[in-house]
Amino acid sequence: MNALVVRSTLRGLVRSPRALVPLAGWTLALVAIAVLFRARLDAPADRLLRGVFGFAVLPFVLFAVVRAQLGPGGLRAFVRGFVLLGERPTRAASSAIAAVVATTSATGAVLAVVSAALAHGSSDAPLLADVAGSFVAGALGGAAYGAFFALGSVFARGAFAGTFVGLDFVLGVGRHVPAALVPRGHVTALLGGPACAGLPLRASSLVLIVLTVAYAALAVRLTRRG
Amino acid sequence: MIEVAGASARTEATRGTPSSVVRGATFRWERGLLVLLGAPADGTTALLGALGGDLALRGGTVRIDGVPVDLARARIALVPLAPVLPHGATVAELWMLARSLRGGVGDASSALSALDVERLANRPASSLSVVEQRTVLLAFALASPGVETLLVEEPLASLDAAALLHVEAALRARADDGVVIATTSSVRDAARLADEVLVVAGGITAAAPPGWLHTARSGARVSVAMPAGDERSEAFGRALAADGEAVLGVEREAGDEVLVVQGHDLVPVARAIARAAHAAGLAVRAVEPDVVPLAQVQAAALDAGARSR
Repeated sequence: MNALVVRSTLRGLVRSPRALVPLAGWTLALVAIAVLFRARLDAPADRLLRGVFGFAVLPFVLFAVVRAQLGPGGLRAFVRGFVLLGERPTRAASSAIAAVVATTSATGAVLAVVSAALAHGSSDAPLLADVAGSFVAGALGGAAYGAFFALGSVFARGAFAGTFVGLDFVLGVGRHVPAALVPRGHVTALLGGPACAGLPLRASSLVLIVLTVAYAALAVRLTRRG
Repeated sequence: MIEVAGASARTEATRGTPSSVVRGATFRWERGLLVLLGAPADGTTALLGALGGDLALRGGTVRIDGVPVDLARARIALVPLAPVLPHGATVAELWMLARSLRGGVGDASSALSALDVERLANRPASSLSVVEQRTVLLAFALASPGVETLLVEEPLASLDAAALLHVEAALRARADDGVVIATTSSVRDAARLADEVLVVAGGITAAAPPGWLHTARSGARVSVAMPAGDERSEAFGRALAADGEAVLGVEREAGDEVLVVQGHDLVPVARAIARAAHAAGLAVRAVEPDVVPLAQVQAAALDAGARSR
């Protein structure tokens, strides 16, 4: 692991405040909707979590985070600067992805906890259990999305940067097998939605971990090829 | 030492920039300054990228001191025309990283002093222009003793103005101890820098003696600047005109201050100029051989390469 690569990746968030506008916007929207849920609709918290949070907020916020960290050129361009200074591409890429996954996992967990706490109503499960479950789902989903979008940045740049967001939307809905290959179905299942491809919740958690590792490994391999 | 055998590579085309393609490049370079002469679209960018491990090879091999490029990464420094330094770090931090991988002593300021750009040491990398980024990369490479193979795209262009005054001497000094390979599309820059020239045209590489750069099909032309109206200048002109063996013609330009000497070949013309200046007791101000247009050099090199095969 290269500490400077990790630090540079983490600093990407504060370096480009403009890239964080979508993050701030979606977070505010989530808070507003959660407050609305609690005050007027009295709907259960998991409906908010799997609906607004799982469907729109989490992928868009995390896409903004990954883009801010890796820059518009994506993983390959980000890593190239370190390689030109003598670093091995695989080491630079794995360090950058580790930092991205850590950030997106933490962001997903925090947002899930905040939205669960804000939307928690009298008909929901005990607050602590609700928050703990949301924390795990947000963290696992965040990690998988981080690696997924980092992989996407190797292929799709510029006007096509959002291709993997679209891919997640298209493949991730429904209960068919391809839904198991992207994070959306599993995250929605963990947040109280229907099971993804018929898998139990524990299996979905495991699949999210496997997907995170697989996306990251593929992204590192593709970056090495130059 | 760098050994290239049948190397093929291509860069991605971007908006406004065609892809650079090289096919089956084969050469070996042990020490000194080798210039790859050709435009980026001829394949120089792709070839340099492949040598530096920045581009995946589509065929062939590149070995540095007998090992593949991937295993010699820290011993190679590549300075492309459009580098992107990591945006979340300062120049000083990047020097610490480069130093840990390639060796070196002192802080970033001392590393940058070789090219007289110490003022960039405390800047965030994201605030540097492309020209400044290239200059920083080159200065770091020159300050790293672990770099045995230095690859520079267009070394006499797109560098900080202060650095341009030092870069030629710095590259020559580095070439005395190791391998320096530079690309350029300027025949004049190639003539100025090269120990040897490898012409790259349409993705094909062909060797060319540096003398070719000055000798067109019609012969060589050398401009000599001298004091106008001086008796010795007149004697110099007469001596050259009388040298029927090496010199085909002599013309005066720029109000008699420049003498343009024409001959079959550059070397005999240069010798004739030296003889005439000595005989006339004239200290000439400057001597500048004309260079042949890039397309003519490329055509001649490819033609000679095809004939030798």
